Amino acid sequence: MLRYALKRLGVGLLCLVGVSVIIFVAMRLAGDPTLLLLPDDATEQDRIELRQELGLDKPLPVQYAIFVAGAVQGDFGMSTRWKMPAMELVLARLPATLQLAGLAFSLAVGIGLLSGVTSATARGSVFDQCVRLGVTLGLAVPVFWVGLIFIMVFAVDLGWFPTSGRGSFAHLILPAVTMALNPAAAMSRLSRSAMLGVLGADYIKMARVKGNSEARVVWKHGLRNAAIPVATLAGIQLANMIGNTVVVETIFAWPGIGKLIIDAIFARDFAVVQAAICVVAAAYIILNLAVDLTYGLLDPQIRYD
Amino acid sequence: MTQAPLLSVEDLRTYCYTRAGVVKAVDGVRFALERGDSLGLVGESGSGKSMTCNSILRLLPKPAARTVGGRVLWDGRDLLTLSEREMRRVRGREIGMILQDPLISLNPVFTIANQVGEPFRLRGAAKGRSDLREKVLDVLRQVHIPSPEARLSQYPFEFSGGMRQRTVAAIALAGSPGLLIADEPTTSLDVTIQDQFLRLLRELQEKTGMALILVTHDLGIVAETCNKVAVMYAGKIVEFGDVRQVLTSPAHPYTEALLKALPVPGTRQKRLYQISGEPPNLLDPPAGCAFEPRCHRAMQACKKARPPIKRLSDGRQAACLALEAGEVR
Ligand SMILES: Nc1ncnc2c1ncn2[C@@H]1O[C@H](COP(=O)(O)OP(=O)(O)OP(=O)(O)O)[C@@H](O)[C@H]1O
Ligand SMILES: [Mg+2]
Repeated sequence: MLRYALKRLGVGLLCLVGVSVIIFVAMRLAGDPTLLLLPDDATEQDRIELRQELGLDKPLPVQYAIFVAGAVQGDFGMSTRWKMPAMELVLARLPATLQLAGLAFSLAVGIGLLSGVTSATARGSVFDQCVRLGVTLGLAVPVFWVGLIFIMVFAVDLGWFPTSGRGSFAHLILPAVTMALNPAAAMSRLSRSAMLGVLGADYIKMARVKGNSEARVVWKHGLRNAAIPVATLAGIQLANMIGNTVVVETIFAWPGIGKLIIDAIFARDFAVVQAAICVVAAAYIILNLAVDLTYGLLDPQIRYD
Repeated sequence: MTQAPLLSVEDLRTYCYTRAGVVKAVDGVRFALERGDSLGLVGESGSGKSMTCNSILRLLPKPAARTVGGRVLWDGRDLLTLSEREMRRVRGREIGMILQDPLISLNPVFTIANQVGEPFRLRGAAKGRSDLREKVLDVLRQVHIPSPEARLSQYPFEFSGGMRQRTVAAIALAGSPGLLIADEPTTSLDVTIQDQFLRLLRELQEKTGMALILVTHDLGIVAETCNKVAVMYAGKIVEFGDVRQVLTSPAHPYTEALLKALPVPGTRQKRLYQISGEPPNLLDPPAGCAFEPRCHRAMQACKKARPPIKRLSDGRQAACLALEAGEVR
């Protein structure tokens, strides 16, 4: 188990290196930041000096080596736009993103599981039909469109929620619901089909024969057997949440990492983009490992070696 | 006045609603059991044996099947009219059931201790953890699981088929039921394990005095294990009575044919006797006796009306017009 975890962690580290190389190169292909940093009347000489100051004149491999040497010590360079250490900036935005992603994930799993499992137990009922329609819609509509519609209807027309920004709990609701919609639909569909596969099994009938209540039959004996695909999807969704915040945070002006990445890209603020992407990638890798390790708890037949 | 029987099934009707139409899977089944009885329920595949058992415990596949009539009298109550809550108290505690396939009737993700302990936990029969553990060990010993202490934390996939079957029996026993229904409990086991298991059932029955309904295709098993037998054909019981009577001198032509189809041990038969023809289509059953098309004693009258089940002079019951005409022995 420990060996397995260490091995996976090693692979994860390699992925992280890969991601950092890609983002490093891609950012430098995106354009020259000095064009944005200098005033319009700056001379070519000014530009060359600034490039030297930022270290952009060195060959790419050397630049990368300098970046890695700093990164392993936690120094991801200075933000050219906000004039502060890039990592500090990213970590300051992290709580907002975790809050949004956390609520969106809880909503997605809660609503998805509840509706999926219930519609499996009431297969063919009106409720089941409604859930299936909802799932189709939830999977089909694009996130940015839903976000804009929500703002128009619930914030502008009805005035129930603020249109954007962060502050009260009310600020959190529209972006979290927008973000939860798609994964909730996917979770609902998966848990429905996983439960349909389980509910016909003899051990479910056996649970009834023992005198279990219908709720215990479904939620204990049934769901526990459908747990592996459900947990897999939940893990993927949790990991994706952090990346998904980019769109939602931009629409709702939510001051999290996603919005920071977008702003930094437009400002060609290399250090901030690199720091933020590294944090997102590391979170993704760790969450995936955590999900794989929980399989062992969910299925007694899985042994790690 | 005689005392009421332990279980009395009266005119039970369970229909399956399929796309092709209504299948009368159980069509007026009637039998009674006394304490300590063991009833063998035999009949061809599809004759409604499982449906009868599932109807008693109200565990029919929803929404395909529904019990539409009859009474199941148990301990002075009609099980068919109980609330779902009351029915849950009957299941497991008063009436236990062993399902057909031991390989899939244990939950793969819970430990043996958890699953065997569940019936005790559900009725609050254990005081604390160590008491529960003792009770679980006790039933595992009763079904002869070797070194049960070491088995508690194992999972079903670590058990052999025979051991799983005995664990299922242990779970049924944990509720100390007055009636155990076993629906083809041994079809997926090899012959020696099958034998051991049936011996175990008999032993437990002697010890606890519970009644048994044993569903099987195998008349040999019935002869060894049961004292009563009910022969089902097309959703009806066509013959019911004492095992020795029915198996040595069958009254109904279908029972007779079933017995003829049995291989006789110690003799070499080139070909086993086969009942000619097909079982009736339950979607569109014949107006008369369902066995009439395959019956060698069929008369003109058999095509017209269903023979009612009648008590014969020797106490057994059978549904055949030929009997009334004095055709059969
Ligand atoms: N889920 C179902 N949906 C529709 N019809 C069913 C269903 N289950 C059983 N039936 C019908 O009910 C009839 C009786 O089935 P049952 O399972 O009781 O037979 P059985 O005597 O137990 O047979 P076997 O020996 O093969 O187990 C069958 O003819 C079948 O067509
Ligand atoms: Mg059956």
